[in-house]
Amino acid sequence: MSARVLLVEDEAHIVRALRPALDAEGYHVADVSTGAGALEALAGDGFDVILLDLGLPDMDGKDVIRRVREWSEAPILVLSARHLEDEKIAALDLGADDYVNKPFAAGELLARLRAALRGRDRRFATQSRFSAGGLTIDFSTRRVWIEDEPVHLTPREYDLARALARHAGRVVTHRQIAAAVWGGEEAVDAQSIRVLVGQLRQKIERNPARPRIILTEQGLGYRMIEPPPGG
Amino acid sequence: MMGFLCLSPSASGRGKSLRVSRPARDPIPAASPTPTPKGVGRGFAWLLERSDVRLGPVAQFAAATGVVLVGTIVAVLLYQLVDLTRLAIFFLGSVIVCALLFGRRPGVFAAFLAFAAYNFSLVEPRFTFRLVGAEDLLTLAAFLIVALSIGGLAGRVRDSERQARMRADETDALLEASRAFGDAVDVDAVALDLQSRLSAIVGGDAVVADAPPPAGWRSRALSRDPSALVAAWRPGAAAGADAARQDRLCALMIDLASAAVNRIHLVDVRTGLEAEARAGRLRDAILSSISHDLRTPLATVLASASSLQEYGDRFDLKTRDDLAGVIVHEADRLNRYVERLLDLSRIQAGQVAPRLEPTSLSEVVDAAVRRLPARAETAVHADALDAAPPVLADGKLLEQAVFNLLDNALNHGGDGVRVEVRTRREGDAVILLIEDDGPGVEDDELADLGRKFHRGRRRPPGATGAGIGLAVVKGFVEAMGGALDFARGQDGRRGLRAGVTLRAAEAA
Repeated sequence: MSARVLLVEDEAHIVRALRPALDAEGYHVADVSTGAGALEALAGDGFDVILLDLGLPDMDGKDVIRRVREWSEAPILVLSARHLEDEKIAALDLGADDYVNKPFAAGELLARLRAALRGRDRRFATQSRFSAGGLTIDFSTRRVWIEDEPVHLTPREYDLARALARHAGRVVTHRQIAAAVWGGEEAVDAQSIRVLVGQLRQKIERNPARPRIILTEQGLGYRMIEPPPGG
Repeated sequence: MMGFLCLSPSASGRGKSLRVSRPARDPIPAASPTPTPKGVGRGFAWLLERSDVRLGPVAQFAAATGVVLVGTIVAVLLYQLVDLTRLAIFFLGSVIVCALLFGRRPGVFAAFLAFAAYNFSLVEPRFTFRLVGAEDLLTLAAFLIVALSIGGLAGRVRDSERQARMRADETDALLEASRAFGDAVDVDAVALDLQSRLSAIVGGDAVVADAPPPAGWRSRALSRDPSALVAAWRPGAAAGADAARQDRLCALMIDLASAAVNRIHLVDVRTGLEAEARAGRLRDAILSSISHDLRTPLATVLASASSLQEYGDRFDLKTRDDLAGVIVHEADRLNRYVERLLDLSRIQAGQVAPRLEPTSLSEVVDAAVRRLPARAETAVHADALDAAPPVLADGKLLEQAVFNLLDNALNHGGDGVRVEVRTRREGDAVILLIEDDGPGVEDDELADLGRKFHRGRRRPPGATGAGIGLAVVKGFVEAMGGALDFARGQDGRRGLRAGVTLRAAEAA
């Protein structure tokens, strides 16, 4: 079954440039140029993934995310300029799944699109076990292995690993980590999160100075590598 | 001896400019007009007005002696003709004159003098100070009392009148100075002005400079800042109360100047801050404009080219052509944007030197339309230009300006926009009007059009980079001595009308 993609972009030329590649990959693409159009299209048809440009003429892209997330779990991939860090963080905190910096190559966008779709599939599959890059987590028993060697994690380290693994392949923002690990009740500064991530890397990364499992998204958060397809 | 005497810096030693003021012809305080009383009072008033004669204390007493002497001589000459008792009035009169002219102390002195002169010259036995009869004694005692009273009272009137006038003059001088300092916009002007005012007050030399005052001069700094200006003046001939008054007035004058200098500094600082804030806003606008107008075509080119590279073998011919077309179009847009940025930087660097010559508007507009995308041919209606009078303009600059205006109208007017190009003659000016029937702009936005990097609020989806195009138009038109203004379309609701005012090649 081919996925249905909603492309929300007000620059007609970008739509024209992206459409052929999306078509060639077998996606069903619908495009709208306004936020209101996007909400309307979503209400009418179901879409499997949303490509959302944050700079829309009629409304703030963040408001679109907020409105969509009131009732839809469809993955949202944000298209944004590299320098608009705060916009991206806000979009991710509001429930966007990932972002692609403009300008982007078609291949890069399609790779992120596939990752977002896989993440959606995993979320609905409720797997009890996660395995990627030599790291294995068994959610039902809260046990963790690295290269088949059991690793002991503190409760916070485990919560962090689980939060990242649940969203593997996608960015998890500082605020989302704080909510998952500390429960979102106390104010957590970025430094505490960095320290906790550092501890976790010491235990699971082969070379903590060059992490391969938990990657840093500067200024945004962290991203855990995806399990291989079918894994 | 008046006006400025400029001493060379070498003569003055330190300080970048040492200027010395000499008193002007009219030293203040000048006599202020007072209401003139009628009848006998007029004589007193006349005397009072002349009471400002500037004499030293010794000269005042000598003059008083002279006045009494004159009165005595007149009385003695008249003695032969008139009865003795009526001549006393001349002595008392001279006391009044002295008191009114010179004040209380010379007046009292004149009273004693007149008493002695009266006794000596007219009271029997004459030409002695000897007194014989009790009647004479009583008369002379009464004379002395009356003379002293008159001298004291008239003198006091004169003194308080003079003080009041001086105070009024001081107040006027201070007010006037305060106005002059308040209008000044640079510190040098204040310093020069203060210098001549001080010089007028003391009736001698004064100097305002950023250097220590000459030895023996009185001085006062304009602020506590050690590098600040110092005002100095050479103490004049005045002594005692007058000198103290002058010093006080000088100090007040310097404080006024100091306030003005502080104000000028504050204004300078604020102007600097405002300029910085403006520069900051412009920087933000440039960043956001470049971010949008460079990134969007770049994003399109990259997406199209990478699509072709990675998936091209799966595209049919039409799709490949389409993507190539998108790349060409967007590269062209990038090129135009960069050209506009370069135009703008040329304008800002002042490198636009228009060659004005009679130019046909219809040719210019036609050339601009041919450079626009093909759809412009049908959207732009410029038939009315065939009869337009030639204007004084630089053809290339005007073509670029018209091109940007048309491009703007087509971009922001939305689909199916119609652009009308007309001219209007107003005296020696020709106004080129470019009007679209698009959404137009808000009223409060009209004035912002043509400002660098201003981006329209009602821009339709996909409208491309304003913010530079109109700024270039404004720069080019103004470089040609013309003007650019914007108004709403003809029906007053929709549309935007740009007016380029240029000089007609031939006078009307």
